[in-house]
This record gives sequence, C-alpha cells and structure tokens, in this order.
Amino acid sequence: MNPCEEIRDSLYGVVFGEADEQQTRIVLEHLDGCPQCRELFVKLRALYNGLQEIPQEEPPEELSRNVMESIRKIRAEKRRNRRIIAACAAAAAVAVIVFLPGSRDFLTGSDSLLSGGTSQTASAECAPSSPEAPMPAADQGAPMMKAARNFNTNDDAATGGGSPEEVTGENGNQMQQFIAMSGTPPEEGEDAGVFYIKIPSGMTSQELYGILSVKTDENITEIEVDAQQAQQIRQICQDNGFETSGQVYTDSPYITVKTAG
Amino acid sequence: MDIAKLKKGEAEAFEQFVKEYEKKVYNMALRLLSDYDLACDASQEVFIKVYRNIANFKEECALSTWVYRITFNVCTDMRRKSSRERTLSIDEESREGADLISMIPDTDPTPEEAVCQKESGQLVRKAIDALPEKYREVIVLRELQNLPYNEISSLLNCSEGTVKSRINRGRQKLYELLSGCGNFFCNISSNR
Repeated sequence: MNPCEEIRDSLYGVVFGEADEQQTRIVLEHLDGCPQCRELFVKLRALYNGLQEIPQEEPPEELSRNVMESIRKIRAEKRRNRRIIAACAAAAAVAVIVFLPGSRDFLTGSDSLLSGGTSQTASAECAPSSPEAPMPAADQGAPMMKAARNFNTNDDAATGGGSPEEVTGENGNQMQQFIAMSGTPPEEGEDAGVFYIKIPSGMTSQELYGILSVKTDENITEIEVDAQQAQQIRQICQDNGFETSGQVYTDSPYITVKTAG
Repeated sequence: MDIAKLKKGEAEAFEQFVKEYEKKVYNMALRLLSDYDLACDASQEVFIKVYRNIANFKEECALSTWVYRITFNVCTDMRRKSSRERTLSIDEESREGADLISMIPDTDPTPEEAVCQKESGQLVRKAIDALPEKYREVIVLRELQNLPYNEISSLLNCSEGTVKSRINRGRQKLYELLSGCGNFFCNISSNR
C-alpha cells in the first residue's frame, strides 16, 4: 500500500473528528506535501460541513394538534379502564365475602351487611351498572361495597364511563384479553393486547424470531399475532428465560408483540 | 424538560415536550423514510408511544436518546409495512455506480427552490435520501442525530465494529454520490 492509500484510509476519521492525535498529526504532515490528498481532504471537509448544514424541515402544523388530540383520548380511555378494574376488584371481593363458608350467616344475621340480592351483586362482575345487578342498600361499614357503588355512579360526563355498553364493549374485551395473556390487568401506560420481549444480549432479532417460531423479516421490530400465538410466544419466552414486559424496554433492544383482534 | 412532570402525565408538560421535539423527531423520520406523509404518521406514533411509556423511562440514557430509539423503531416498522416504498430503493445492488441523486423525484421544482437545491446542505440531504437503506440508517443516526457508536449498535442490534464499518462505507458512498452530481464540489472549491 502506498503512503497516499494509507493516508486516505485515515482521512475520513480525521475530517469527522474521530482519529486520535497521532493519526491526525501523520495525516496533516502528509497533506503538506501531497496536493492530491489535500484536495480530497478539502472535499471531505466540504462533505462534513454539508452534513452540518442540512436544513431542518418544519413539521406540518397538524402534527402537534393530532398528537394532543390522541393523548386526550388515551387519558379518557385510561380513566375508563381504571373504573373497570375497580369494579372488577369490588365485585370479586363481594363474591369472596358471599361464598366464604359461614359468611352467609354473617351477612344475613342480626349484624348483616347485606339484605337480599347478594348473589346477583356477585354475579354482576364487570358490569355492575347493569339493571340486572342491583347494588345493595347503602351501608356505612362496607368499604368494598362502597367502591362498587362509586363505580356505579357515572361521575365523568366527559368520558361517559360506567355505562353498560362501555364496560362490556371494546375496552372490556381488550382488557379481558390482556388479563388472559398476562395474568394481570394493564397498569398505567400499558396497552392492552401488547407486550414486549427483550432481545437477549448477544442474540440477533432474527435468532430470537427463530426460537419463537416466528417467520418474519430480519429488521422488523414489531409483529402482529393472534391470541393463541401470543400465548405460545409467551410460553416459549418463559421456557427460555426471555424477559417480557407490558412496557417498552428503555435499556435494551426489544420486539413488540401485538395481538390482533 | 421536566421529566418528572412528564412521568406524572401532566398534559401541559407533554405539550411542551411535543413542541420541543416535534421538529427533531419529524426530521429524523423524514430522513429515514424519505416520505413526508409517512414521516408525519411516524412522528405521531412516536409521541403516543412516548406518552404511554414515559413512566417507565429509567433515565439511564438521555431523554433525547430514548426518543430517538423509539423513532428509529417506529420508522423501521413503518418502512417494512408500507407498500408505498419509493421505487428508488427497489434493489440496493443495482444502484451501485448510478447517478442516484438524479433518480430522486423532485417535488420542489419552483425557481426559488431550485436555487436552494444548489446549497450544499440540500445536496447532501438528497444524497442521504439516495443512500441504500443500511447506510442511510447509520448516517442519519450518527451524522444528523449525533448518536454515539454504542447507542447505534444497540439500536441496530449489531456490533460496534459493524456500525463503524457501515458508517465509513456510508460516508464513502455519500462522497461518491456528491462527486457524481457535479455541482457540489464545484460550489465548494469556488466558495471555500
């Protein structure tokens, strides 16, 4: 390799500020006596400067407006989901109280908390505002019942939360699917029907797809599968010790698994 | 940027965040996707993902790095899914040696814009758009977003050696493209 070829290999590093001091000194010394390499150096400097001068384009005006509109919808949905979770928890607690051995005597005895309609209340489950599920009479000493009753009152006109249509509609189904997949209700900021798999260190996404039996493009970072496949993928992850989460990984590459439907 | 307020989900803080980052995210998406409509859709998705996940941001890296990581992932997915891939990226190999800048459809043919295109930044931008995907990715991340090698390596899920090699090759390709275009280095030698 002649000296110019060697220098040219280092020129990019010098121009882009990535060469060390010694390398830079050797190159600059060479440039003093070599017009051809100097010309290339000047051109590469021009390329470097051109990169710094790339004009930034203005985003469309509607971008921020659309983003904030979407955020408002997400916030409304979150509020609604929180009420659904609270109602499910309350209904489950009622069911436990009602069906525990001996609880019936306690509930219907002289110190009873409830007077009639208990089984209907328990079966109301996630639809506490259903007309078929009358709430018990008001009682100062039953916090869980109060929680259910609070849910039953439609206190958010903006979101219209608490109506039977909403509870049993798309949100309810989506959350049931999420709970079925993950075993837990979605937390704040989580998407129902979505989970993330951390790509283990030293493994490529393609290798991971191979282990998960997913046929897809090497560079894709998001896959969409049906609920059964999602369950299988979760199982494979568990068997192989791959980390999964309902939230994106901020410290590692990951793939997103979305459940269709 | 007050990350604590963002994590609390305060709408005002998030609006401020969007204002601060929309141009950066949009331009990164634009360079990665070379399509205005897709870049707008991608930017919107990025901000929604940030909103949904900011509570889990562990602050082990800068907020900007985290946002760029999400932007890169969203753009990668969008590029794969989109049926609106530009024809100029059909076959990377067949592009070797071609005058690729001239293949880029001009969407801005007004006289004023034609003058602007003579500016070096515009020419370099067009050259980046003409780069094969694997080089465009690393050049955008390194030269435009100023991400360190290790972060790019993590984003692309490949070794730092591969990233360095691709960046070097990408720079050489940029140089070749701009040499083939004629105007760029003529302007430089007369202007500098």
